[in-house]
Amino acid sequence: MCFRKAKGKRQRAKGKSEELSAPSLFCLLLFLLFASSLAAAQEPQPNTGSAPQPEPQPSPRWQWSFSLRNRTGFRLAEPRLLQMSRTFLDAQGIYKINDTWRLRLEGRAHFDPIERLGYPKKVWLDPRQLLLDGKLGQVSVSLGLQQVVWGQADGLRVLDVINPLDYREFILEDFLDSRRPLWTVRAEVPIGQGSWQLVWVPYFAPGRLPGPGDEFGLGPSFGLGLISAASGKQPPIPIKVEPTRRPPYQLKSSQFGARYRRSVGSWDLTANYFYGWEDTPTPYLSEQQGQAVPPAQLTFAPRYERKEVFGGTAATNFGPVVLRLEAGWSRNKATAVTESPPRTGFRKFGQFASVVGLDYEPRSWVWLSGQYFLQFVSAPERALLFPRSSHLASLFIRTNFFRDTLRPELFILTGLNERQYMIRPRLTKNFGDHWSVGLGADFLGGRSRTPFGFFDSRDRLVIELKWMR
Amino acid sequence: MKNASPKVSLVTWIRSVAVTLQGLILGFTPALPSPLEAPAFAGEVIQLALPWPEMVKAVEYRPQPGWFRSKVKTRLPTAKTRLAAALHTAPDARQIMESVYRQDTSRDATWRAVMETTDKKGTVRRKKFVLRKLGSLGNSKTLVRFTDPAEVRGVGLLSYNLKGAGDRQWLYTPAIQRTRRIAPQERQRRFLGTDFTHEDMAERVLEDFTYRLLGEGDVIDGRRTYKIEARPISPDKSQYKLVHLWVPQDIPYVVQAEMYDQRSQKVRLLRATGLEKVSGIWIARRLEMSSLIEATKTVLLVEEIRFNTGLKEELFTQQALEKADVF
Repeated sequence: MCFRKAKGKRQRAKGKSEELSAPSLFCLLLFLLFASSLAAAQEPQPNTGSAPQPEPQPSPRWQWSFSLRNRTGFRLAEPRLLQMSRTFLDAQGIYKINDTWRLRLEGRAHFDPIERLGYPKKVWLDPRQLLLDGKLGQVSVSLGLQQVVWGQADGLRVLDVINPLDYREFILEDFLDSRRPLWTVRAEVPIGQGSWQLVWVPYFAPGRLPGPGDEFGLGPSFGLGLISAASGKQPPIPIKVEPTRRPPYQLKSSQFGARYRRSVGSWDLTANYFYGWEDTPTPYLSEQQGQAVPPAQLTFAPRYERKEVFGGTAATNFGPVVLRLEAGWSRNKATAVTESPPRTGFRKFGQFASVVGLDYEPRSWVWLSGQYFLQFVSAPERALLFPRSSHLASLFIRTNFFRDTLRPELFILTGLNERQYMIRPRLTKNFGDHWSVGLGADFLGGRSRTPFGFFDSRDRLVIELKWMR
Repeated sequence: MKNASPKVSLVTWIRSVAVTLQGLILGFTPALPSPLEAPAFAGEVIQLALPWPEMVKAVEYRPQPGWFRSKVKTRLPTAKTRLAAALHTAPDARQIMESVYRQDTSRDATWRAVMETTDKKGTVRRKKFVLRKLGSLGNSKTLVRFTDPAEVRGVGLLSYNLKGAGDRQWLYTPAIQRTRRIAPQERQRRFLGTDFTHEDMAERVLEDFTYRLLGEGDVIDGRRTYKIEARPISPDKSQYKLVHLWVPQDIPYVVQAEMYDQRSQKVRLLRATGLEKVSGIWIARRLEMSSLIEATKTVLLVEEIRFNTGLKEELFTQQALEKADVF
């Protein structure tokens, strides 16, 4: 019942952040809090041995962290202007219920007076974590609002598919900030030499998309601009966009995932499966537009699609070099196709994505990480609007000087079969234990139909001032 | 008593955290079976702390109830006699150092400590951490969790140093909520920007060094000491050409160490103060490592230490590493 009420509220609050009914989950949290206390009472006390032990220091029940940040971006291409001045106030509290259970709270107040990225025009309160975390027997349980991170790749996501992203800053924001936390039930079950992680998200939540006129907006729906650019079907063909269809607030819309993790020899291995929802809608063409070529009007009917991802990761080190592997197979992923006359514009094919990464630290002050990304669609090239395969390479150089108080970094991502790139230099300086200043830049470019080329004119300089305690 | 294995102690980086650092420089093998390999014996370890130098910790485990007591009664005099003879008549450097490390008979340990790093300008930066270790020297699992300042809060380092499996390390960073496999660090690198190197923090093999008693050392903190020289048996065993160690004649603990590089230049100085016995094991509350050339230093202050509290294996997994809160 609470859930239905929440649904109604969410539907009224169109375009605002949708969170699952907090009251219903809160009841569950309270119950588990109670259960955890009972479980703790039954736990055997640790063996302190016969030797005398010093009295342990009393631990605080609460542990608090705060941070205040400002990220200000200046657009380098014409028109040169202030792109953002985002201020974040984060507060995180961890309450120690007993030796095995914790309650974690994290909230964020956010404000961007520049209003070019599509964030709300007022102070925006964003709950980041409300989590009850502990153990029931041998099973680790995490219940509540949280992020679940899978995968081994840096910079791009292959198996990190559970939490939708906030795309209002494209993918230039740290994933920890751009991932949208979800109300999730997560359990870690040790079995034999490994462990299963089971994840259930009882509802659907979309990614947060920029508006068409925002700095990193693509159009009425994510992907539409790329399709228009690739197909050459730019206006004057009139375009009409129907309201985005999204999954109902019903149990059948819930999402589920499982990951098995274990070490074999020197290898860390995982096998992953996730059945969820794409975090961006697919901009299908409406089929009622007639058979004329070219059509008199393109009508888009975007809708969210299911996604089903199988994959795995592996990591090991050969002496000083760490090898990371990650691969995922998406079944029935909607892929833009060439059709004449156009029908829906999309058909479902399998899609493979993988990453091979090598990390090496040749000196104590420098760390190098190279990655190769491969993605391809299980369909003939001629049927596809975009290239069947995509090859990308990245290089991440991280250095530190003066005892880790000055940290220059450089991340480069470039296309190998199609011209596109993202270059991100950054310099961070710490002042004492609480203050830091960062100066960075984001350069994007390439062919206009590639994600990075599309934002060619959005190069920017970013200054970040941060206080933490 | 179980024979010492060839791997000796000193700790993973962490291990070094205290008792250890000194240890590292020398390392020994524990006399106990690790709970990792013999969990059935965990809790059956008994140690007797006798006055040094007559002492020796007689460490035994009993496969059968009642076996231990009679075993100790019959064996202890022999051990006492042997060590006392070594120390009073003709002190042997290796035996002294072996006793230093063998005195740490813990099956598990929990440390809360602060690292204070002072740079050339006198600026002090502090990092607080909690270290938990399970297992014996040369066959252990260690989890270090930083708790302060906020910049590193929650960062965790999980290290396995298991017999037959080699060293493995994972680093958890809350800022990306991910666990990364990392390569074991080269021994001469500084540990997290401190004056301790990874070698200073890592476990050693006893046989990697030869030891020579240089005679009676200085009086340090009111204690007469033995001065011992430790040299790696080959250059690949240590970044140092040699290390000088000072061990009090009444306490099995290294209270001072000087490290010399391959050019015989003194590069680091370690001083341990605030000695006390916790659960029958000697520890130093304060360890100061000075980099003499760079004119910097790092002080490790042990706020709390507990031994044999029954830490479980499940605290030393990647899942546990990803639980970033430590109180």
